[in-house]
Amino acid sequence: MSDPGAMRIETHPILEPLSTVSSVTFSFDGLIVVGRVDEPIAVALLAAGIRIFRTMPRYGDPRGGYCMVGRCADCMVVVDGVPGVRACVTMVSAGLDVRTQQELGELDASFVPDRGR
Amino acid sequence: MSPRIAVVGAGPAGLAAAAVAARAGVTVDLFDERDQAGGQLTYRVQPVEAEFGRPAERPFELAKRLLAEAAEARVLPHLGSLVAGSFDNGQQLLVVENGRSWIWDGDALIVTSGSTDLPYPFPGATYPGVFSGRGLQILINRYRVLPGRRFAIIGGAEEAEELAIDIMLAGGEVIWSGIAPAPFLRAGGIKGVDVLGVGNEDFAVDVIAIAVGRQPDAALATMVGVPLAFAADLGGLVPVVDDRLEAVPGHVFVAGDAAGVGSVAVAIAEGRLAGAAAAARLGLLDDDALAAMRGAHPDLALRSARRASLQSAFVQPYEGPALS
Repeated sequence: MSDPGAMRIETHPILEPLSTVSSVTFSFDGLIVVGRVDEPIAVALLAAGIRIFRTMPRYGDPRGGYCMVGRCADCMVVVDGVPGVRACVTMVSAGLDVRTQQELGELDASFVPDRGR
Repeated sequence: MSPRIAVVGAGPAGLAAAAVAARAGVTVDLFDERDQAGGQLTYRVQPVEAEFGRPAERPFELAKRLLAEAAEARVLPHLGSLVAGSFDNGQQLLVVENGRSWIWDGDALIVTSGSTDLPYPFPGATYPGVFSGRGLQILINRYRVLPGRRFAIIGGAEEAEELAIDIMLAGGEVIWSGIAPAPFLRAGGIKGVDVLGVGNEDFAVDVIAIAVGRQPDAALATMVGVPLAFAADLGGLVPVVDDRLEAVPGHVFVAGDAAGVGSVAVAIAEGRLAGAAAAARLGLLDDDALAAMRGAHPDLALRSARRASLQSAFVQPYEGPALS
C-alpha cells in the first residue's frame, strides 16, 4: 500500500480557506508533480502522495521528510543534478528536475555552485 | 552612536526581547532563518495564552501584535538570514543570507532560538511517514497538506494533545495516541508506514508523529562557551543563565524555549526580561525596570529558582590558596 491518501486541506474550521496561488510543475524521477509556488519541494511531493525521498548509504533504507524545518537531512533529494538538497526548505520552481537521492548522490565534476540556492 | 544588539530567532521570545530593547534606545537587529517572523505562532492554530491571566489569543493574531510592537519600536528585521555562528562573546555573528555570508558586529547577543522536538527512537522510526510532531504541525497548518488519513501519535503530554486536535481539525483521524516504551513500538510498511505495532496489537496508519516533548536549541550560546546543565523539567540540557537571563556577563542572554522549554506566555515574559537586561547592561535602563519584568509571570520566579540551583553547580567550590 503506497498511497497514504494525502490531500490538500482546502477548508479548515479555524484557518482561512486555502488561498489560490499559481501552480508550478516540476518532475520527480520523471513523474510530473504539480506544486504551489509558496511551498517547498517536500510539501509538493507529500501532497502528491510521494513519501520516499532518499535512501541511506549503509543499508539502503528509505527516508522521507521528518522534521520539516531543515534540520534532519531525511528529505535530501537531487535537484537539477545537485545532491544533498533539503527538499523541506527548498522552494519549488517551474521545470525543476527532482530525483530520489540514492545514498549520498553523485556530484557532476563540472558542477559550479549556485550561490543563490 | 547607540549600542547595537542582535536577537536571534523571531518567535515570541525574540519579538518581545527586540521590542523592549529597541524601545529603550538600543539598535536591534532581529534575525530569523525563515522569511516569516513569528516562530511557533506561524504553525499553531489553537489559542495560546500570551500574558499571564489574560484570555488566550489565536497564535497568528498574537504574532501580528508582537510584530507590530517590534516594528513600532524600529527593530531592524533580517528575515531569511541564518545565524550560523557566534564568536567573541557574542559580539560577532556569522550570518548566511541567500547563499552569501557576512559578519555582524555589535555589543550583545540575545539568543531566542527556541526548541526542537525530542526524538523517540524505536524500530521503524526512521521510516517515511514518520514525522516529528512539530514537523507534522507545520505540514498541516502552515502548508495545508494532510500527508495521510489515519494518524498515530507517540506522546502523552500537551504537545500530543494539541497535535491530535490539529489533525482532527484538518480532517484526519487519530487511530492511536499514547506513550509506550520503545521496545514495544514498531513501524512498518511496504512503501512508507502503513502499520504501527504497539505490543501485540497492530494499527493500520498512514502517518506516525513523534510528539514526546521538546529540547532547548541554544547552540549559539554554547558556541561562545556557555555551559549546559541538565534539567529535565526545562527540557533537558539548558544553557546556564542567571536571574537576568545573562549567560556571558554583559554580552550574551538566552530567553524563551532556548533557555528552557515552556509556554508562549513564559517565552514572551522572558523575552521582555532579556531585552530589558541587555538594555540595562548597556546603560539605557535601570534595574528597577527589570523588577517589573520579573514579576510579569509567576513561572519566571520558578524558572529562576531552578536556574540558581543549576548555576551553583558551575561555581568552583574551592578557590584554592590565595596567590601572594
